[in-house]
Amino acid sequence: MENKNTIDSSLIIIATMGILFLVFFIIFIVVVYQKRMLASKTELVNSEKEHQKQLLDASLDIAEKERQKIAVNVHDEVGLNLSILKINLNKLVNSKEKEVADGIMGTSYALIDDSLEIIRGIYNDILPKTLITLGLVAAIRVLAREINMSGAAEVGIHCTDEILISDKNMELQLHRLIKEVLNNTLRHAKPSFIEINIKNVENVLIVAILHNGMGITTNRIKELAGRSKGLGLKSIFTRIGLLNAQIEFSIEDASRAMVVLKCPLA
Amino acid sequence: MIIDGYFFNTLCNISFYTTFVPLGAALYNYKYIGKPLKPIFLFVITAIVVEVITGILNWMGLNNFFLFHLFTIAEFSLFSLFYFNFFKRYFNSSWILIGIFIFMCIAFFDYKVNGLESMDDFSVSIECVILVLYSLFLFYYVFQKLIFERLTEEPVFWINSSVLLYFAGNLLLFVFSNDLLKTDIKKHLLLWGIIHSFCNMVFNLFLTIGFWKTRTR
Repeated sequence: MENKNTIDSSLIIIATMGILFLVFFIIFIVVVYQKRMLASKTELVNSEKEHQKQLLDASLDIAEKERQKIAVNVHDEVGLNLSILKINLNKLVNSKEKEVADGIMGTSYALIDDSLEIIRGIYNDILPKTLITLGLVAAIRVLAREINMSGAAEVGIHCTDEILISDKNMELQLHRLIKEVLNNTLRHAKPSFIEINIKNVENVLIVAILHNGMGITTNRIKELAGRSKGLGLKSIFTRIGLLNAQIEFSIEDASRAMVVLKCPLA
Repeated sequence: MIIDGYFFNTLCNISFYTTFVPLGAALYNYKYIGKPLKPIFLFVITAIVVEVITGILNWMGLNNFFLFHLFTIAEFSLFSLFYFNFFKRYFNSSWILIGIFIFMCIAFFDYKVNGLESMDDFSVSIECVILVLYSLFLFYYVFQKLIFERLTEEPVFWINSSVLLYFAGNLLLFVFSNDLLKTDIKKHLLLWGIIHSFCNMVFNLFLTIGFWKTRTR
């Protein structure tokens, strides 16, 4: 009877050994997994840094190309006009006949107008006037009108929500991004019809571009962006990164494809 | 029986002497010991003082169980302060301080039920469970938040491991201590010699590493 009431000491020892084994196991697991998790976190940070570096490189490339484009425009267009103007001025100094002088003057005025138009074009290309004065939606409408007038495709635009972007730099980046997406769509998808829907859903700007050209998926486009040496796709993804936005390319059916851009406005 | 007594005495003596090792490490690295580890330093001193007084009372043939009642409260409070100091850097951990107060009530209840003539097995068991839970929570938190880059270089890791090991290891011994004392005191002493001494030695070793790591941080 007494034996039954007494506690089995060997059982306590075995149970304690079990607990101690468990304790050592827990400590071991914590150390090993903490190291693994830390390694994976470091890897993630490194890949993020690499991604940031790529974005920075791409944005520097884009800025450099923009500068080159401006330089070429100024040199080839305005520079040529100014050279002709200089020649005209020399001719004007030497000309004694009024009719010849009038002719030179007329040509020169035309050259000055042409140069001013080129400079305005360059300025508008860098900083669209409509964007500054009337905002993003109006600037996209202008863009759509330009495409319609060029005959490249028929572009329709729908926007019922009020889109207010206080950050002007963000607005400019968004405009350039949408312009680049439209440009790429026209060049590669070759659609005859494009429909742009702009919405503001809980302070997230959603731009859905539906077209009837050749579609592409997000994975495929990312693959192309990685391989491509051109700046078009790189500039799209760089601006997406800078704006903390998202872009999705999808094929809806045989005759419809979609590009959806989502950008937080605050 | 002689072997048991010799075995018990040897293990208990070794276990007692190992208590001085973390104290030495703590004194040697005293200037590096930050606020979170101060309660542990105080605990080491308290443990030695209690061990010495217990030994003297035992030698004089007097009952020394009342000291365990006081020591349990001090031990729980100091370890709770260690966890409070650690967690307060990340979130409001004042519930740990409330825990100390609740535990004091439990210890008082234990004193009322068991009296000072027997082991405070109830409050010690509760202490073990709570400190094991604190320790596991600290591991979980460190694991989730990846607070430390090199975990094994952190004093907190070693102190926490020592808490987990000591209190989880002694849990069953503490739970059954009064029953064992009443039924078979020799068995109790033997188990105390095996389990408590072993856990105490590893506990002191981990505390020593913990104090030593304050220097290398």
